[in-house]
Amino acid sequence: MESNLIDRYVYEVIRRIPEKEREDVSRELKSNIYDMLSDNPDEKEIESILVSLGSPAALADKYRQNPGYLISPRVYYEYVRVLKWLVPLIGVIVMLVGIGIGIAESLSENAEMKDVFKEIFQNAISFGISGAIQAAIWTTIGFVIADRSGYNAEAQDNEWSIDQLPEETPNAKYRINLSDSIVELTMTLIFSILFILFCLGSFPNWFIIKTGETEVRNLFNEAFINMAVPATIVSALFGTLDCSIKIWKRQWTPLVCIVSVVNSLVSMSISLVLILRTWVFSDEFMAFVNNELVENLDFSLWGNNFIISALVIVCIVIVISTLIGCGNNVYKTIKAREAKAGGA
Amino acid sequence: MPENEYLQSLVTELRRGSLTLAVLGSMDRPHYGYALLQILKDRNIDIEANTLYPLLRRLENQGLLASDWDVGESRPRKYYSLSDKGKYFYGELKIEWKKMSDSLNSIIGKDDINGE
Repeated sequence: MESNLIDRYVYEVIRRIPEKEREDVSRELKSNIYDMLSDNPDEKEIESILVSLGSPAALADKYRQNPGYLISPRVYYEYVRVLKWLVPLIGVIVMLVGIGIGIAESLSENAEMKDVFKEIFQNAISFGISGAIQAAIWTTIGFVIADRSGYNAEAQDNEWSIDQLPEETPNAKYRINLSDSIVELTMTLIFSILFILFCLGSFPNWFIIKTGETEVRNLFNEAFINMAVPATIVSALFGTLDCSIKIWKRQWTPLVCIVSVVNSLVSMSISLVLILRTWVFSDEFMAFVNNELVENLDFSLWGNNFIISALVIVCIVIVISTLIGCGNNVYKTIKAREAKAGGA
Repeated sequence: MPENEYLQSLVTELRRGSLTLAVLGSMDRPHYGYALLQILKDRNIDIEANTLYPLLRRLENQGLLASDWDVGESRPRKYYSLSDKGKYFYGELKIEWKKMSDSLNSIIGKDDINGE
């Protein structure tokens, strides 16, 4: 019974080490353990000796020769850096491919507009996510292979020369925060997709009629929906381009500024066109609101065009905030160039 | 981590470097694992069994030690001895150790003069 404890302990150690070493380690470890015990040890003594040796897992760890990590600390930072830009980039590219495929397929099938967009966006999400995951996995595998096959980080360190210093030091004040850009990109894509699905009726968009019945009606006008969906796509593409440039350059350079301003103006124009040219809301909703407000709340001052007035106000707010945003970005870019020229 | 733990980890770091030298230096004749453990403990080298045994294997894998199973005794035991490469390395490590301890002693000695 006593040797059973020792056998069990040694087995727990050797099962965690490479197969070709097991027999030798087992033999040696048992021999060492018996040396540490008296001639006729009782169970208590055996237990205390095994406990003093520590957990089998820890002991096996010491016997193992291999590194015990996937990616070595020296290249870990590089690895994370690559992940940060590569995974969103591939995800977006693959997503666009998915959209393209979706469009091509539905064109050939001659499906209804609504179904077309649904198909496209399901494609977009699934392609995008699997693209991002693939990018992460292959980057990891690439780094693991490089690490194991002797990409010698230390040799690179030793060969470092002054020529390798980059030309300019980025100015901290005019950096664009990477996580901000990534979050903005993600939010843009998520909200665009959600808005489109919402328009297409994937989510319930009803309003309650005062009489207490819950009727399913369309919130938005048919014409609006047909324009809104492509418009959102275009807007999302520009937004993606904007965020991608920001992630790539990470500074307010003139290029980044131009792209950003273009993106803002495109979004603004699209929003304005949608709101002003087409009726946003459906006839039923308009009738409902006008009845409610005019009858019950005496908004007759606004006339029957309460909604229109509200929309005009929204448009003005959009224009003003867009121009302020553009102005701010241009200002930052100018300041950044001044700082660079002044050698700050 | 709490102060005690941190101090302990620094002490362990300090000791870890000198273990190989201690093991190589105790190999005036062949020894088996447990006997070596006793020898080191007698010389006040604080080393655990679960550190020494894997270390012996590693030094053997790197060619500094040679091993031999002695099946003559009541129980078979694996005896380790210094290889030629091990003798050479031991010589080199001794020189390095002397240099290091002279430098450190001059630094620590200065503190003593200052009354630290």
